[in-house]
Amino acid sequence: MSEIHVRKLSRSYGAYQALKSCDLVIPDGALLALLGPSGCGKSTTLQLLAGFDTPSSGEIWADQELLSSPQKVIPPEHRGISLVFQNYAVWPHKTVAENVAFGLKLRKLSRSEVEARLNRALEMVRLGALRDRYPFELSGGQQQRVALARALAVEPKILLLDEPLSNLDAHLREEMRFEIRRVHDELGITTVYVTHDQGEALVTADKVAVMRAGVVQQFGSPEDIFEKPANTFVASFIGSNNEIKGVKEAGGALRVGPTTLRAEDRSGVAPGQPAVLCIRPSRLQLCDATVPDNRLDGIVKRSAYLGEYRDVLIDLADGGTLRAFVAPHLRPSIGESVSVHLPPTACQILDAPQ
Amino acid sequence: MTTLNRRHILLAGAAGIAASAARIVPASAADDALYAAAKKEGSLNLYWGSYEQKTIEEIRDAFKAKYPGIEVNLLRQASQTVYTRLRLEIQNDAVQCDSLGTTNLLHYIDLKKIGAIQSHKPTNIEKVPEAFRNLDPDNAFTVGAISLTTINQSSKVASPPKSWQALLDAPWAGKITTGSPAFSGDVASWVVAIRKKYGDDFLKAFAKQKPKVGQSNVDTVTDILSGERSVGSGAPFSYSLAQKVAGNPIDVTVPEDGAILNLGLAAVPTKAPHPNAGKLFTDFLYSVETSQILSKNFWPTLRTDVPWAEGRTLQSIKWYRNPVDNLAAEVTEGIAKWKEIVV
Amino acid sequence: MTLSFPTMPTRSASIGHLRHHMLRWIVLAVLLAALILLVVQPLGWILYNGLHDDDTGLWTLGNHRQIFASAALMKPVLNSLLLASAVAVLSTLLGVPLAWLVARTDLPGRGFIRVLTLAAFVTPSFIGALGWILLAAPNSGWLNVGWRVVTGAQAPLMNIYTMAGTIFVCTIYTVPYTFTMVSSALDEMAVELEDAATTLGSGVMRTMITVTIPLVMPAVLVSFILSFIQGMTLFGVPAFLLTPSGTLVVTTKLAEFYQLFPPALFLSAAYCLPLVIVTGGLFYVRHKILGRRQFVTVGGKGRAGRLIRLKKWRLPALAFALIVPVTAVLLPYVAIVLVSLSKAWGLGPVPSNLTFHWYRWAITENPETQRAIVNSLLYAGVAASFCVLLGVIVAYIVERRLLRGAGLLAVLVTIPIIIPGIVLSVGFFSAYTRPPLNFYGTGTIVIAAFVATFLPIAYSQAGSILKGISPDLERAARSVGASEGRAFTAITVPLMRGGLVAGWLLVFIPIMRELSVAIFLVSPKTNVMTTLIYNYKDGGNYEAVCATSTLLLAATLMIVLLARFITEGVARRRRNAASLGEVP
Repeated sequence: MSEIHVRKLSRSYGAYQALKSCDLVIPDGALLALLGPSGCGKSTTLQLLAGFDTPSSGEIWADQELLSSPQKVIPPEHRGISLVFQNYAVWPHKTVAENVAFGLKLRKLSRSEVEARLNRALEMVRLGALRDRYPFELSGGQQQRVALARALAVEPKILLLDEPLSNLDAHLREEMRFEIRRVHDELGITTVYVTHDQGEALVTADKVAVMRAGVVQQFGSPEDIFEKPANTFVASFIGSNNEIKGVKEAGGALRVGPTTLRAEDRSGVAPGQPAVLCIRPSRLQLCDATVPDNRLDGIVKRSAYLGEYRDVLIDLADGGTLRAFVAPHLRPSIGESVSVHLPPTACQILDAPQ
Repeated sequence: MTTLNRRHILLAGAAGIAASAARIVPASAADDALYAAAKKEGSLNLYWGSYEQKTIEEIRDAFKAKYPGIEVNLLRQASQTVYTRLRLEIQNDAVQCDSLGTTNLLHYIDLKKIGAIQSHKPTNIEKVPEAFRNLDPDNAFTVGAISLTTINQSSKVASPPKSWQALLDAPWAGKITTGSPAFSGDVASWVVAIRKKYGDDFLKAFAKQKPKVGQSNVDTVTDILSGERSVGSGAPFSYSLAQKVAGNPIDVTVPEDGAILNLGLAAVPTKAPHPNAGKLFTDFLYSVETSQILSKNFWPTLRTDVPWAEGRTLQSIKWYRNPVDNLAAEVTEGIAKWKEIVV
Repeated sequence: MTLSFPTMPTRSASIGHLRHHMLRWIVLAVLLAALILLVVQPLGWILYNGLHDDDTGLWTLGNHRQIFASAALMKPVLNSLLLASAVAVLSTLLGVPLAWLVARTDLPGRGFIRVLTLAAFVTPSFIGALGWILLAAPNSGWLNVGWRVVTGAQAPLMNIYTMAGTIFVCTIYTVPYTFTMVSSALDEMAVELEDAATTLGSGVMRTMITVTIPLVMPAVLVSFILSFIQGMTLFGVPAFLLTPSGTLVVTTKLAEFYQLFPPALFLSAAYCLPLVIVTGGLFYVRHKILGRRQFVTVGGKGRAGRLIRLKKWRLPALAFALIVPVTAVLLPYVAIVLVSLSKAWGLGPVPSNLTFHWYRWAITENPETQRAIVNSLLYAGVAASFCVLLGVIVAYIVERRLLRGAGLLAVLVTIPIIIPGIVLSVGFFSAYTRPPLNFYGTGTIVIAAFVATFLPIAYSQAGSILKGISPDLERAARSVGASEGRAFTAITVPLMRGGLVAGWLLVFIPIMRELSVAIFLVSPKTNVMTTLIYNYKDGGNYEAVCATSTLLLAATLMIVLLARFITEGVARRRRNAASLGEVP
């Protein structure tokens, strides 16, 4: 329940720059996902937010209070920020109840208040029955819930989650995603969620910051990120993506060999310069060779049935490949010539990656 | 302690110690004044390396019995250790020692040179054998112990070597044990004396006998008792006899070419915190009580009127003492030669 | 759900920030003061002494020049290197598998082997050397006598008065270091890590070699270095066993310096430099090997124990595991106890020669031994506790990188261990006999010297435990509102507990058996058992030496078992409480 402002935040370790001038605004009560591959700076950001690390430059503000600057870092215990760790960090020498009540006891609350909040937190993550177990008697998912309950019990202003689901199996992970979102909706705590899993980010977050090599690539709603990626990195990191290289033409078009494809131009590239057209495989349509506009021809190289759709890989006549997710009842066979329509509304011209 | 004590007392009786001497002699008038001053000081710190733990403890206990009201703290460590400690104390101006008793004359010459020990002429010094009465013209130090270095051997050895020279005979090859002059002052004295007597040729022949070289001269007894070797050279006379009386299969041979006599000394540091108590202890060394304790423990006594154990006397033994002049250099050279020739 | 916010008022954050830093600075200031007093000062004196001439007392580099230029002075250094390297390698080869067998497998008699290995640890190595002289002197050693009787051979089975004999004796009394450090690391390690390998089809041996041992690598390396240092700094064993062959090592050469007239105190201070250099190199290598590798074995996940079944290997393994208990404890103590029960040990163990006299004398008749027993236990207990306290704090600062330059702190607390005790003793003498720090003659100076001497062990042990505890566990506490200090006391310390008890013993035991560092510091009232035993040995009173040594062993073992009993009792109570469903 705090609005967080991150201003020009940087962190270097010797010559290595882990985070480069990062700007973020996390609205009060929002759930922000920091998304990116390993080494992108998302965990560094989280450590800085939690107060375990000191920025090399820049500031972190929560509401009107300066939490971190190179000169001064308010220690973790005074920031009102709870952190849930990737490896849970459940204390092995304490029972579930002791783990969760630890933070409460530090607050000099009355015994009954501690008990009440403990019960509330345990109920929230549905662990009431296991309160007297030791961690080694719990499954991974249960330990994860203990970690979450422990962080929530102290009613933090801000909750940080560091890849909280990465150690869980796929089934549990899916369930926990919704669980985390449910808890967030119930409590409305400003939450920052670090993950490398785009699915997790899209499902749980209000806002997503995609990071790479210490730089925020795009900061926006899940729809924005998915539908209007800021660059090819974001486009291919979030979901599947086709990139078609070509030369930009004036008025929202890209020339690929002899073909001109119309598309929304979101690049900063002058006509005549190389650029890239991006389109999601799910937006491609198989079509007749007669369709006049935005059509590419090729030969089916691979076709995989995935139940809900068919994943088709097409070698284009002009070089390059395209991946298309088509309705499962269509059965293009390998070696067959096909034509693909790229609806202009689904196409975006972006800067060519460096 | 019962077994040993009884045997000791029986032996002492056999040795013919006069019944009168066995009683505690009342303190003299001069002693009274010193005792009063020492009593005022209240305590006494002994730093002693001469005599083994047991003997020096008995002397301490007798002192305590004779002079109640003085708390006696005994630090019994190797001579060189207590000397080094006193030097450190002097260096750091934190002297705690009231009486230093070590087996190395050089310590005292050195301490006297820097004015670190004070003059004290014991009232009863005239009872000390003449040869050891006036060691220092200024009485900065006086005799504290008489230590004899001899040959010792296993009881199984029927005819032990009669002299240092005899140790070089064929039968003793591979049978000899000895200490190291680099570790033991008594062994160093022996090496200095033997080189003076017979030169380095002795050491060369001695090396051919393949002696086993331990650290302290006490190690000769260990080797003999364990059966590792059968004859000890440069061996401790008193300690070997004490072991014999305790029942161990060992005996002593005083070599015909002379036992090596080494003196232990005693002195009171100039900055001693309890100087009078220290002086009182020096005087006590020459008391009948102390000499009786020494006799009982097979040490040469410090009084001519108290015979040694088993009726021995200083006169009955042929002995040799290294001259003091140039002793330091001779010790250094002796150790170097030993290392070069023996091990 | 209604929630009341904020729990931590905004304004208090800044005040808390201040308080947080105040506390940190106070702890640091106290720590630094303690280290300056305990370590910097005495080491400073040693350095200062090394740079002065023994005869003239003037500043000089002559001591160092002499050491590196003189073959007679370098030879002992090389001998020490040989001895120390051999001891370190052999101790690791014996100690690591032994620790694994006892901690992880169903080896029969594990408790017995644990206790006997501790008993080996408790034994001052000079006592062990005495025992082995009785056992393996070429002519008289019982084992050699037996060998001749059985085989009719002329040549002895073994000669203890050799470099090989010395390495052997040093090794069997050094293995316990390796054993204790590695087995406590194994005890703390999560079994899943091994299970993970086993489920991948890795055999028991393979798992041990590829997973278990690498995971306890910090402990193995630390114990390797400690063993090396033991080999470098032991005095009694080479003094007894190498003197007959005229082979000098650093410590026996130092003893010669102290025997010189006048004693070459300053030269001996300078003589420590090669040792410090070599050991510094070792720690550097360790740093290079471990580097930034993470050895978090206690993560936030729980663990449970299970034993590996040895099956047909039980007997061979048992034979291997008995090497140290038999050679370091059973055999020599048979000899030592027999001597202690003799009226005159030269008569041998015949019925008429038996007596309890020396025990009665030591316990009930002789105030010196009584006082020394009390002093030894008291000083060792107090010093070990301080050591562990300081060691844990320094290790925490270093491992968690709380301070810039923390590495320097690590170096500082590690140096004392390499300086031979007798030189340290002089350093402490200089440091604590002048106002305002005049503790000479008191127990304080003895305790201070013990703390400084064994701080490196406490620090390494604490460091290798901390390496195994994920910092996330502490951060988790911070993030729910615990201060740095609270996170340390409520989370880190309890998690270290098992290892800390081992660490305390790892310091307590060597203090009980330490001789040289006390030598210039004890006073008649503050005498400890080892100095007393050494005096009896000096006076040739072997019956008393052996009786008091046996008492020293008994007293130390009693404390060791008591400590284990108490900690295991606490652990059990916690478990029981848990299973009864109470929240303590």
